[in-house]
Amino acid sequence: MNHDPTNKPSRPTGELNDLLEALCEDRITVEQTQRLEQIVLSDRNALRHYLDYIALHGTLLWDTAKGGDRVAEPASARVSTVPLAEPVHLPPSGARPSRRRSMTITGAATVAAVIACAVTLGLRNPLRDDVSSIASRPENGAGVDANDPDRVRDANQFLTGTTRNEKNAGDAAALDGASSKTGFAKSNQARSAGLGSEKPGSGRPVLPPVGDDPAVAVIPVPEIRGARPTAPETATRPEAAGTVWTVSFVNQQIVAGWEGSEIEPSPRADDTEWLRRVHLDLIGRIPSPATVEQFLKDRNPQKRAEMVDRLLDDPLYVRHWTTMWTNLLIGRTADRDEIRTGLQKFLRESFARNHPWKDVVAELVSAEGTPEQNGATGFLLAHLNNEATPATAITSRVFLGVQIQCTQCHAHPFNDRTQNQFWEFNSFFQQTARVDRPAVDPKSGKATSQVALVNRDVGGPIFFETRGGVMRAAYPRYSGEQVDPGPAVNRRKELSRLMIDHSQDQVARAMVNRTWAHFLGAGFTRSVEDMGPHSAPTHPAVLERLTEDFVQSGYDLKQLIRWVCATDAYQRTSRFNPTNGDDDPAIGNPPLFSRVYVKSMSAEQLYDSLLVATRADDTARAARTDLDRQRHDWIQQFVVNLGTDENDEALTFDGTIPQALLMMNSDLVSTAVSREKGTYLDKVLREEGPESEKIRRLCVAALSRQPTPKEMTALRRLLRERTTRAAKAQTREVALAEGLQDVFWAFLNSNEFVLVH
Amino acid sequence: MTEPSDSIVETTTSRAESTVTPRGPDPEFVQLFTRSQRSLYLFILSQVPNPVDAEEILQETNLVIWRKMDRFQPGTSFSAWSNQIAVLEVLKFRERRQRDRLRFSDEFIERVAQEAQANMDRQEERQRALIQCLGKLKKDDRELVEMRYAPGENGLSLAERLGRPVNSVYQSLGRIRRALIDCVNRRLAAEAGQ
Repeated sequence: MNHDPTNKPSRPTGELNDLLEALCEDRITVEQTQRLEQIVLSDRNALRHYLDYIALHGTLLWDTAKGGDRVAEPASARVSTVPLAEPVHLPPSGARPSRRRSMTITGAATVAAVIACAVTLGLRNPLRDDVSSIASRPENGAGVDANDPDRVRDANQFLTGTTRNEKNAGDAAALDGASSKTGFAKSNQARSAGLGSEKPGSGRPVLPPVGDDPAVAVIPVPEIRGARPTAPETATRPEAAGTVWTVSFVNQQIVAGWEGSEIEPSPRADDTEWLRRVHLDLIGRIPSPATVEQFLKDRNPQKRAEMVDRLLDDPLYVRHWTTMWTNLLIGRTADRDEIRTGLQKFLRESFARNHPWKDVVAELVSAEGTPEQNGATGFLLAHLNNEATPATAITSRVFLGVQIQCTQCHAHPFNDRTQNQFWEFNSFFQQTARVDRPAVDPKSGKATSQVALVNRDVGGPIFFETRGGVMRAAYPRYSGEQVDPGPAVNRRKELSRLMIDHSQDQVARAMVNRTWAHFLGAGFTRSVEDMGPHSAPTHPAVLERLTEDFVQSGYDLKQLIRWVCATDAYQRTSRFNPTNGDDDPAIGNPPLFSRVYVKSMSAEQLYDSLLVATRADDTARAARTDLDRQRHDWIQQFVVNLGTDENDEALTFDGTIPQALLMMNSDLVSTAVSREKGTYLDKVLREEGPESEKIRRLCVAALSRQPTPKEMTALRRLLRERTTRAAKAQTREVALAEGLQDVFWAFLNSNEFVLVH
Repeated sequence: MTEPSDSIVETTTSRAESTVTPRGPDPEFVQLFTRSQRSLYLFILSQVPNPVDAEEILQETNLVIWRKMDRFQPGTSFSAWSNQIAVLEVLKFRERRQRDRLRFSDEFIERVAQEAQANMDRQEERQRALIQCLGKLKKDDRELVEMRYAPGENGLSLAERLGRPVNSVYQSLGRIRRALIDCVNRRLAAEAGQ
């Protein structure tokens, strides 16, 4: 027994551990309590060990409760698309809990404690069978046939509302009888299908509503204790809810995916590679040299996670994601300025306040009015031509990850989506029209027009022609649910409701898939916009787990992003190692995530990055609107409107390297790489310092990393050749400047610059 | 989507004197608050190891935090401030439960609280190490732990559920927890050595 109160390291004794175990399992006796006190108070190390043990126990308790729980939906969790009468009080990073639960809130005592109590209420919810933390099992990745159609979530299901429901409910009942080795089946909902049961192939069944399934025994849970009378809602969830479980599950699953193969993962990316990538992914531009230098010096082992948090709070995050989603939704050319501006405003607010993603989608689908009144209308306003067929196709593709435009004219070749389904989906837009209203321009006083998205009170089916020339009628129908086709029913409102409530979380799943692909360079399906039975996910357990957790978090996009960025997979380098050459989606192989995949920069990322690299002095920034306008104009030169039925456009900047370099030979770049005053190059040239330091700084500015010794040697030699040729001191200076200019140019023109790796 | 927003325009008593139209709480404060929840919980748990009791105390603490919101000086340590409040709530709780046999002594509580406060900054890095360590557990172990920590569960109920002898379950859980804590310690030692 160590009675030394100083910090001499001593291992915790078996006795101490036994006592701690007894404490954690609530079976400690009075004598043991006294003994525990004695040990802990006598030895500083024992005290620390006690604290660490309790912290471990507490973290597991807390995170499971957070991650596995559903809290009452706050009443204020809505998308603010019009200026609010009252200010919205919650901080942008407030995660909003998801499903509405029928929690009894008795009394509304100290209203000031609204938020506090709602949060703490979330710790225990006896109305809920908590299975998600248990149910999402690490399945043995190696043993699973990813192509088994049963395993795959049928994204098509919700369109057709087919029999998968019945089939899976049958599985759920069967499970009850099956004696799994954990004896768990009885008390689990159908979600845990496949785990320990005889059917490794059965995919996750669709949940029967809680309480319906007689096979499910409610897990005995004590009543909510400490459920104080409170005023409800407006809960803000503690951050990183369930992160511990979610991230480690994903990590483990991905490792399991390599079992049986020879693959070893690529090592962790070094700090500069990672920093550059995370900047491009989160805020759409490379880091400034100052940021790079500081990050390299930082010894904090948590710096990566903290950087993610910092970037998520940066206004540039909002700008980048607004840009991406504006382009995704309406392309880079819009016929009218106010459509684009309105949509951007809506998206900016949605990302800045981190509105629940399902609310954002619902608003985009069901909005009405002018773009000034409601920016979300911009989305559909851009696509109502051709009897709203682009609207149909894009809504399905972007929000649900499902390609249905092919079925506009014929049945889908690979799956059973029929022509009917396309038109049934399309009929939801039948009441919607784009109108031009006469208006007066307030500035010039001239007569002009204002565009608006309106709903007309029409009803009935739409008619379409099959390939055989037969006329068919299609009624609004979604996921097997028929919607009243009468004129009084607002079809788009119904559609937005159905998309969230009746598509087996496909909106969430599609967003998870898309977000994962954004960061890792590949999603779980070959295309994130073509999910379905013909495209089985590579890591179904990961996709399902993240989807579930995303839904439970209240569709909190920032939380999803944090999870993805915290995974082991995202920490890795993009370089191959000798064993994982086959892990390359670019050559058509399914991704194994043993490394991060290289992505091309978008045109906007390239533009912004060039600005940063060449004008690294951030303080000289022009007003944001000017920058946006300049960037938009610059990119216009590369956009071509294809005039297809789907309103497709092509960017002649296709992200390939030759393309990018071509763009770079434009005026923008030549000015930036000139030695004009105000450019970074000029700054570096004029400041005192050895030439190697100048080279180093230019490398950090352009490539966000230090030059390698080899590069340094080669570049110095180059410079020496240039300068020795110059006879006089003056021309030598000029030669040096020109040489450094060339060096800078070479950096910016490299593959390394234009790619996200 | 179209519900009226519940205004937190409340009746916060401490703001009654304010001449400004009541608005919501300061977003920064809310953020500090939500971020501190877990560590507050852990702080309380170290003094009152029963999870249900700790939650109750946490709720009481939160009530006080919101009541005394205006006393918090922005820029100072939120955790130090809120921990102080928690300490008082722990004491009040202990007063209520005087006859609880399995109490710790006052001396123990004081010492633990002191040390826990000093240890606040280690928490996050331990948590991150824990993520890694969880990933290293064997599949069966991980499942067991995940089951054990489902709300409302403990070793005893788990043993019943699994149909295993309860001591065997306790042994397994103990082994796993020790493994986790060793793993976390090793990880942090390794990182510190870098």
